[in-house]
Amino acid sequence: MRTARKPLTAAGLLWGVAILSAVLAGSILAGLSAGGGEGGLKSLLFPGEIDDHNARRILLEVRLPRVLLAALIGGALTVAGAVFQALLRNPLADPFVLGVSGGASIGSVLAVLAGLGGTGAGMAFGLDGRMVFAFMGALGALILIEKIATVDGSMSVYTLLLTGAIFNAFSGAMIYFLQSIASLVQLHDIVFSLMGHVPSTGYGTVGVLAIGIVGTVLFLFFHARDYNAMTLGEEGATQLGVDVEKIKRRTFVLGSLLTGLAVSVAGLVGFIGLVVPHMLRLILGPDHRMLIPCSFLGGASFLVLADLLARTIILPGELPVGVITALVGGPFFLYLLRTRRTGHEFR
Amino acid sequence: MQPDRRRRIVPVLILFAGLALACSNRPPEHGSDGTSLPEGKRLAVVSPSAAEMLAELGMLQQIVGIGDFVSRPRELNRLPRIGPYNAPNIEKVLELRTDILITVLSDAAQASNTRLRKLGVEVLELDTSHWEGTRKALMTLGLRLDRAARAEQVLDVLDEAMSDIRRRAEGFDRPKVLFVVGRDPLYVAGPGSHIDAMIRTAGGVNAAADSGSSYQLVSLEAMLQRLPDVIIDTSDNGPDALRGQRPGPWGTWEFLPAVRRNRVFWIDPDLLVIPGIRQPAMTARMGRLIHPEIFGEPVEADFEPSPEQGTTETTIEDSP
Repeated sequence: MRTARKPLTAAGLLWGVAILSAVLAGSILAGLSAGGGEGGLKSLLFPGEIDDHNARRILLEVRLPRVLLAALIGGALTVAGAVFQALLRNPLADPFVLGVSGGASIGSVLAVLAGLGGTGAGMAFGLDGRMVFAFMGALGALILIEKIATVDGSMSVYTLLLTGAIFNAFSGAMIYFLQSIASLVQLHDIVFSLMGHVPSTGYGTVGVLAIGIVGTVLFLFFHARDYNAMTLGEEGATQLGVDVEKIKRRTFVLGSLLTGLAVSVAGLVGFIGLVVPHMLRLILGPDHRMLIPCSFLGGASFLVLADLLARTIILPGELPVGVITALVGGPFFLYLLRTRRTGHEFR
Repeated sequence: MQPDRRRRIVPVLILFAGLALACSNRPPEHGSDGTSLPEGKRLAVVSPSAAEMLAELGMLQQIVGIGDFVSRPRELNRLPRIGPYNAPNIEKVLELRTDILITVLSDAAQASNTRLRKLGVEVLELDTSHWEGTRKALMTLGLRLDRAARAEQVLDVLDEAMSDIRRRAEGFDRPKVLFVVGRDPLYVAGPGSHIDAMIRTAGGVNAAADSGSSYQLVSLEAMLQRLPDVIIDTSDNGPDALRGQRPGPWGTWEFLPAVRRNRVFWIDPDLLVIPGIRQPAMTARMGRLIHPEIFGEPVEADFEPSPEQGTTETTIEDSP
C-alpha cells in the first residue's frame, strides 16, 4: 500500500541537505584518499608527517582540483536533468536532450580542427581553447533552439523537445562530417574531446565553473515552488499564479547553461543527469525545494566517487568516467526502481 | 511549351551538363611523376607507410590513387584520393582501374577489402604497426612487385641503422621517458607500441611501460610520481603549436627531472608517431632527445612544424 508522503518542512529540507552535504564531504575525502600518486589524505591532513613534498603538491594541485571539478560537473548535470524532467514532464529527459550538448560538441570539434584544442592555444582563467569553443557552441545552440522553439512569443515544450532532438541529430551528422575531413592526429583529439572525462585542470577552471554553476543552481532553487506547480501541468500551474512562459524559458536557458558549462569542460558524461534525479526522487520525493539542492549534492557525490573509480581501477591507466557512471548507476537505479516504488517516481 | 518555362529550363540543362562533365572524372593515364604509366600493375595505396616503401622501391610511377592519410612523398599528392583505409571508395578504386590496393592490416577494412577482391582487385594488407611488421611488409611488397633485390638492399641499410643505434646506446644509463600522445586526458605510448620499441632501442625506459596497452589513457598523478627524465610531447597541433625544447605547461611541475634539466621536447607527431620505413631515422631522432651525450643534441629538423597535407616531403634526413 502506498503511503502519502508528508509535506516538506524547513526542518526536513535542512536534514536532507545536511545529510547529502555529509555524503558529499565523505565522497570528497574518499576522492582525495586515493589516486595515481602515493600521497593520500594523510599527507593533506598531517603535512608534517610526510616528507615527500612532491606527493603533497600532486595531491593539492592535481587531485584536489580534479575532485572539486568532478563535484561541480556532477552537480550541474544532475540539476539540469532534474529541471528538464520537470520542464518537459518527461522521465526520459536528461541534460543532453534539448540539443545544447550537441552545440558544445561541435564547438569542441571545431576547436580541434582550428588547432585551438591543444596546449599552445593559450589559456585564460584556466580554460583552454577547446573549452571556450565548446561553451560558445553550447551558447549558440541555446540561442538557436530557443528562437526556433518560440512561436508567437510562446515556447511549447513539445516543439522544444523536437527541436532539441533534431538539433542533436544534426550535431551528430555535423560531427561525422568534421571527423571525415580531419587528419589522423586530429581524429585522435576529436575522440578524446567528445569522450566524457573529468580533466586535470587547475583551480582557475574550478573557480570559473564554480561561479557559473553554483549561481545558476541557486537561481533555479529559488524557483523550486514553480516547478512543483508545473508538475500539475501548464494550465494547473497558471491557475496557481505561476508565469509559466517565463519559467519555461528560464528553465531552458539556465538548465542549458549548466549543461553547456559541464560539457565544455568534461565532454559528454552520460547517465548521471538522467539517473541521479530519479534516484533522489525515489528516495526523497518529488518536491523540487528538496530535489534541486539534493540533486546538486547527490550528483556531485556520485561523480566524485565515479571519477575515483575511473582513475584508480586500472592504474596507471584510467577509464573514461562515463563508463563508470553507466556501469554503476544503471544497476543501482534498477535496484531502487524495484525496491522503492513510492508513487513519487515521477509526476 | 511556354517560352518562359523554356527559358527557365535552359540554365537547369546547362547545370546538369556541367555536373555530368564534372562527374565523368576519367582515370588518369599518368603516374605520380606526370609521365605515362609504364607497363605493369596499377597501384592504389591507402597506407602511409606503404607509400613511402613504394617510393624506396622505385614504384611511384605505378601509383594511380592514394588514401586520405597518405602525404609522403610529396609528388603523390597530385593523385586522386580514394578515401580512408577503413572505407576506401570502391567506385573510385575501380574507376582508376586499380590492379592492387595496398592497405593497412585492419579489422575495420575487412568488409571493403572482401568486396574489392570479389570485384577483381588484389588487396595487399600490410602490418606496419611495429618494426618487424615493417620489415616483413617491405619484403612482401618487393616480392609481389618484382623488386625483391631492391627491397633486400633497402632492408639491409635500415637494419644496419637500427643495429648501430642499439649498439651505441648499450652500457649507458637508461633515462625514464614519458611519450605523450594526448595531454587532456593524458594519453601515452605504452608497451607494444613502436614508440616503446624506439625508446628502448635508443637507450631509454618507457615511464608507462606497465600500462595496459600500446596506447593508454593514464593517470597524470601516476606519471608525475614516476619522475620522468625526458618528456616527449606530441600532443600539441595546429598553427600555434608548441615546438622545440622547452617546459611548456609541464613547467608547472618543476620537481620533475625532465623540467629541471630542460629535457621536455615538443615535437610534431609526424616526426615520431607514424610507424614504418622511417623508423631508423625516427629512432635516431629519439636517441638525440634521450641521449644527447651519445647521439648529439637535437637538430633543427627535429622540431620542424607539421607541413600541411599536400606539401609534405620526405626530407633527406628522414630518407633511409
